[in-house]
Amino acid sequence: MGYDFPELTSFGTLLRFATALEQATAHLARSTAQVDECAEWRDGLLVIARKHQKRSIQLERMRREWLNEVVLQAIDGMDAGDYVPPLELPPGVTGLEAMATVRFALERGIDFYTDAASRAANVLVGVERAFKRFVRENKRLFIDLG
Amino acid sequence: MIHNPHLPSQAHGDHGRVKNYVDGEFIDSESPRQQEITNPATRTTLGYVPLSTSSEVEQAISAAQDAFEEWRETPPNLRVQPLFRLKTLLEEHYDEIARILVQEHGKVIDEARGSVRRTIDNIEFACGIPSLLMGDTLEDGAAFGIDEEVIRQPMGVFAAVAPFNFPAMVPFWFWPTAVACGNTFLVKPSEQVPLTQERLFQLIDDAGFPPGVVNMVNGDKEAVDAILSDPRIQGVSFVGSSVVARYIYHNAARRGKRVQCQGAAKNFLTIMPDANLDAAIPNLISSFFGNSGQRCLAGSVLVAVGGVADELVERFVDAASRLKLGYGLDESVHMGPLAAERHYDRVLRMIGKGVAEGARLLLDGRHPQVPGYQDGFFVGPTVFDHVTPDMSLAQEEIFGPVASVIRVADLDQAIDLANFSRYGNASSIYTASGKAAREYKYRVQAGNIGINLGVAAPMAYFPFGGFKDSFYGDLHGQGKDGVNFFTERKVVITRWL
Repeated sequence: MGYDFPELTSFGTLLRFATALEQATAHLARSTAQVDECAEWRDGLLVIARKHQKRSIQLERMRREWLNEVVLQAIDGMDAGDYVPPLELPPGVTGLEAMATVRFALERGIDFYTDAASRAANVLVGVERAFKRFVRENKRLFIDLG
Repeated sequence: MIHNPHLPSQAHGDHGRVKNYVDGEFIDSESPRQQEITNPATRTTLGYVPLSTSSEVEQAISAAQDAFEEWRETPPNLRVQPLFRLKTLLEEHYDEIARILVQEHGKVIDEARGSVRRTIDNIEFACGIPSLLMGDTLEDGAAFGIDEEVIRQPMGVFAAVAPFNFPAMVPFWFWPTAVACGNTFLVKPSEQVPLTQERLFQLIDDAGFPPGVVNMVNGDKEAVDAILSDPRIQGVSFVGSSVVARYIYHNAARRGKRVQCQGAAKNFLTIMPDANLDAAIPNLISSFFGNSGQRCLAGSVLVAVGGVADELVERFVDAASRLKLGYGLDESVHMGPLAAERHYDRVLRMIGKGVAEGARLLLDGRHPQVPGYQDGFFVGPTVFDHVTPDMSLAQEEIFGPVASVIRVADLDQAIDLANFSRYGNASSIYTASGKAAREYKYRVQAGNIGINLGVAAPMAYFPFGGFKDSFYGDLHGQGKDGVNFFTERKVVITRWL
């Protein structure tokens, strides 16, 4: 699947990146749920997939409805390469390896939203709140996966 | 990294010759005069716009006049139904419109998206017209047993003459409210950037307004003069330069029309010593260099108060120098080109004038390296320091990515400086002091004030307009001012015998 992970150069690109991050993580969780060895985690993985899919829709709405010239500004200090999650499960992956990949994707989300929330704090408090909530949710999902 | 910057090869193709939209039909202009539409990043030709004749404008006004009676009798709750449909259509075509904007104007894609959002905001505002149009009634308001009421009524055909800097949004400051109020309308887009409006009018057509309610004629001064001289036009809305604003104001008002003309700007942004520079710098950068400085709310003069100057200038120049120029369809780009060659030449002349007048050029944006787009009308962020109030840089609108730093001793000097300007569109102060902010808000003569915010852009439900030479007229665009502009108030006194 193709995802558009832009360079993190402006407030707008934070939201585009976040949308791609959520779509990629949702896809990864769905793929992992199909792995036979991951059957015991299937329900939890599907919860993650649904949660991230829903967030991607929410983020797209935020980008379209909240961004205007008042809040369009450049950001710096974030390298997109530090936050891109795994996009696919490697071929022939074991169940444990697949679960580790999903956990890694959740951690990437935690890192991204933590750093992005601090950039958003002075721009749009609604985005900062949403990003902080995603951090809390990802930590909970990470724990729930066991 | 997976990244799809939507390269020019994927860009919108040749549009041919733009059509007018009159009486519910797209029609070819018969005018032999036309103008090339150029992509300012690539200098490629996107199409041609006809410079319509005065008789074609008159035909459009006739269509609008013919549609008026039936439209004004349509109940307000039904008049807004096509606007609701248009909002849905714009949401569906949101990115497509933004991409056309980038190609014909040069904005970066997020700026274009933001202006499409503002376009939609104005439709949403107009959808609330059944409430906004309500009048007032007072039982026994005139005397015992005699009631008095005021009702709002539409007036007829209105027109808008749009600028080049916001090809989608500006006509929507006016026509949705006017039409929702029961008037009919004629839009004349900027001849530099007509493609966005042409696409928007295709969606307007899809939304199902009755023929003649909303019309569009492309053209130049001949079309504007035809609008101004036609007695059927009840009022004119304009956004553009002060020279043209004065011309339209004078020629419309002397013929008894209502007029609201938004002109040029020279916006002063004041930085107090207690300002939070970490938050202010990116916001200032956005204000001065967003839309490549081509907006009437852009910062133009950076007023450094007291001891903040040296650190402010150093950090501002550093941040400005790191902005990435390029084609706006590339999501990573911060700044696109200027919209047109003539404007590009003018901005370069103004920078040269600043140098000649003795301002210190700290960052020179002339002739920047933009790989792949060397033919584009690019000017990079430009910063002058030690500008004085008598210099052209401090007085004239540049409408480009040029920041002029003036150093002053205190807040009083900063306010005097802003008020000395002949323009009064917007002004901002960055401070941690409520007292200083209140003082600024109270004393600065500008229509839009930002407190720790560099682009004080009113939302659709607030009035938008400046003071002094930035505005000619009385009622501003948008919000309740718009409803008042597009309606006549009639008082009715009733006694039943």
